Amino acid sequence: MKNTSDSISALILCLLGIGIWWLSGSFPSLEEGYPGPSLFPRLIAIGLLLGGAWIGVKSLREAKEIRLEFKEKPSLLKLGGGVILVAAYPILQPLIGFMLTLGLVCLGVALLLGIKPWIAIVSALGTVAFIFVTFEMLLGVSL
Amino acid sequence: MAVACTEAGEQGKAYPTKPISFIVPWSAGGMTDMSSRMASAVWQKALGQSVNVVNRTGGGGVVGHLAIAQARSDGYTLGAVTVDITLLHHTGITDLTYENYTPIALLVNNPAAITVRADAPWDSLPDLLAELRQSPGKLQASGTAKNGIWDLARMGFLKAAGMEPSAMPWVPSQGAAPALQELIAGGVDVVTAALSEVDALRQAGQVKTLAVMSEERLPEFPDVPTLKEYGMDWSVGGWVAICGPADLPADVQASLDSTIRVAVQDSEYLTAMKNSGATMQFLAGAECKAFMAKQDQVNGELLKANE
Amino acid sequence: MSVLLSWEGILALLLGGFYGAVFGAIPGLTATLAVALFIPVAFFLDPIIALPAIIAISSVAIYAGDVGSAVARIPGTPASAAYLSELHRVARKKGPFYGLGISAMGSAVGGIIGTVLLIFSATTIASLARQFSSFEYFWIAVLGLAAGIFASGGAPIKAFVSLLLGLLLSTVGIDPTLGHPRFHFGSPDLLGGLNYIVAMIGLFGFSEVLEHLFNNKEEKYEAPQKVEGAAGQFYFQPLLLIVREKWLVIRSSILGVFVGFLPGAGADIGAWVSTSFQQMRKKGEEEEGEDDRIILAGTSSNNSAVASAWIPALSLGLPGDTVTAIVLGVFLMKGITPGPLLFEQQPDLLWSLYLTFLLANLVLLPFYGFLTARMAAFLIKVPFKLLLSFITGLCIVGAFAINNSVFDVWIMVGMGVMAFLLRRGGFPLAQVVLGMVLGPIMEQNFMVSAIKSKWDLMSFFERPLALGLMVATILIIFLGMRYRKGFQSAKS
Repeated sequence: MKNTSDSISALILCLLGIGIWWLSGSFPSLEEGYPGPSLFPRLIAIGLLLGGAWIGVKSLREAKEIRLEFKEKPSLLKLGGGVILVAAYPILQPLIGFMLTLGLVCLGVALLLGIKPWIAIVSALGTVAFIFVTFEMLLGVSL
Repeated sequence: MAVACTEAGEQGKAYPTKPISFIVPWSAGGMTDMSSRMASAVWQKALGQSVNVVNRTGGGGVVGHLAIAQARSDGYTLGAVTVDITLLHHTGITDLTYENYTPIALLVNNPAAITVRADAPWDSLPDLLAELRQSPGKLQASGTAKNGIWDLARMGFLKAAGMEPSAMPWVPSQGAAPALQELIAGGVDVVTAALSEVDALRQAGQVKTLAVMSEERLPEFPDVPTLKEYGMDWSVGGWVAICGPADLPADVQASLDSTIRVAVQDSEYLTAMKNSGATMQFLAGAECKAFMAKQDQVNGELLKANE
Repeated sequence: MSVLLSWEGILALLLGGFYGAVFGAIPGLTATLAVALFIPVAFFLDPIIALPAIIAISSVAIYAGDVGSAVARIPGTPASAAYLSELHRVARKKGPFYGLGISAMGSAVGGIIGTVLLIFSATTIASLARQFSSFEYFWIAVLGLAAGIFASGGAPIKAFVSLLLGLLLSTVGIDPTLGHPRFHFGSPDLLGGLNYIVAMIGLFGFSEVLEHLFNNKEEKYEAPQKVEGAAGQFYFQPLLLIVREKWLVIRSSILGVFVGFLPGAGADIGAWVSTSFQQMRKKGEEEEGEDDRIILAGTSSNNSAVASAWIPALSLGLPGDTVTAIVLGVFLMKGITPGPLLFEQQPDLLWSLYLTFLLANLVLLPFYGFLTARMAAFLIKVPFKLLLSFITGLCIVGAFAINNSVFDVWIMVGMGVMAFLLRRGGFPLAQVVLGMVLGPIMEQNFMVSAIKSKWDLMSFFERPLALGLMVATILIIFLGMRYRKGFQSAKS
């Protein structure tokens, strides 16, 4: 598994490096023809390409034993659900207010984690109450 | 003051009925942030509602300025619009201009100054000008980012002296403090930041100020001559204006106008502003708008000429 | 201002400490924000009250940042991120009182050493810092990055890639030297760049939630030790450790002082430099008590940096970090002009500042430290899974509160997903933050130096101070490689 993941990282890093090089091509250079805003992104792109290549070569060299290790039952579905729930906060918050949105997101995450529904509801309520008291009331941060 | 307060109260029975958010496009501790916080601290007494200062920084001020312009026009989101609004759109970073706002009042206008190291060989402005004429491009100036307000001060200064912008090239910096550090460490020769920003080092005897770019000598700094006294017609400053989003309702504008007039008379506000070294310039409503329009035109021309 | 410390001053110290403790412990609320929100209040106070409050807020907030790390793996302040996993491990294994005890006592000792150096060397050190131009700042940033490569437990090449990713993230937004927008994809929110505190909340906090959603495994930590003897665990054992490791503490504190007095570096970078130094000295992988030593190194240097950041502020009027930038504002508001003249004109004020620093470290840190640790001891007994929905809420609100922007919640989520993937590939997370912090310092000072010297790159090696810093960088890389080699051969 380790070596497979290294090969995948190497590929992603190289693609990222090429992408950045390409994107920074449109940045203007300084009047005198010296490199401008594109200098650092391009150096980073080269670094990523080299780093990716290094990791890639190393993973191929060591690619004798490839073992897949999934002892636990990983759940991509739950992971995606959590990401979507939290990512929905900025959309829902202006519509139904901070308290309701935050409560729902926390409840959703707790349920996805497999916490008993009534405990999940209590913890979501507790979270909203705590955040409201500390941020809104004590610290004067408007949410 | 009491009379003004009751008047304001009667006019604005409907407004304000809840706290007001006040957006500052620059980080906490800076000049804009400080004057905004001082003003809002006294303003909320006159308004009868709390004014919460909120920093929305980043993007050379674009992020915060955008947030003020895009807020709902109900008077519950106001903000500090700075001189940068007359610079940013000329360099194509944003489409925002002063016309995206309802000006309420100009609070501060800190004039730029010409500051050199204390041990520099020039004791007066003519000495420096002579050096610039003799070997153009040798001396370098700093103070803020490229095309920022103090860069503009440099361009205007060189133009008024009849020189090319390349006579004293610009070294970009992250603000006045890093530029002053460069000046003291010998990295650059001139800093064109506001007099209030260099005052601490000036009093410490580390730097000397040759001239200030204002119409008249500043009352707090009577010993610093103006460019005008040397026959150069150029004055520029970094200013902060309280604005709302475009098209604020008339009654909201009236209420804000009358209360801010009261607030800026507050003795605590006046003392604090005076101690901070800021140069106060108060212009309300239409006057403020005319000021911003004039600035936009002058600064735009200068930036275009230097492209 | 003849009284050194009035009753009002002491009250301000106590209240400020409490406020700092709460702010520091809550992720997303930084020491800077705590002081910034205090400005309108400070405006109406006498400096003799306002300044002790600010000192108390910043000293305690930097320590309290560790509480979040210990309990929930979310650093409360950027300065805590450098030794995050070590502290979390120790707090889980040996109990929160011991973990936070090391951090509070280490902070106190570091803070006192920092203050003593502040008292004796403010003028001398300031005259050195005065010589720093953009060339030196560039090399300082390079030095920090070089140290970062070897600061992780894993392969240096992966730490290098993580640093590069952090540097890449720091280039998003308007280029601050040349004003050109980069990688914003038409979004005005991205134009402002990515805030590294928001990124940290996602990288460390939200990624933890994602990890548990994905694996849904139970944490297998030993139950925290019984709470009896909490005071002993909090005060006595860490103090013994400090006495045993006195050279480490002194070394780290002095490192913290030197990093802290550089304008713009501050406590965050102080902690990084000092922990990576400690990481490099580590001989074996599983050496007993290594985590304790790393925490001690980081925590003593970040609090000594808090004190030394005042050195350039007091003696030059240049801020050492964001907190002292705000302090300078308060000074100016009150008609006090910082600079060499301050030392001649207002010695009383200076001495009351020094005294306040000593009190804050001697009294406030142990007192509020224990209080917050008690809170943490309660929280850590709750099964971690139950805390996760609470952490989710804090991540959202913390990310939002930094810049009052809902867009930052998305950045936070994106960072969480990125951290999840990076962990899968065995890439360290802390280096991403280091890259984001040092990236702008390195790039801006490089561009400024290059423009200043008209692209004569030799000028980067001409100034003696710059040359010295370059030699130090090469030395760090060399030592890092050597220790790494010794470490590898010892393993096989």
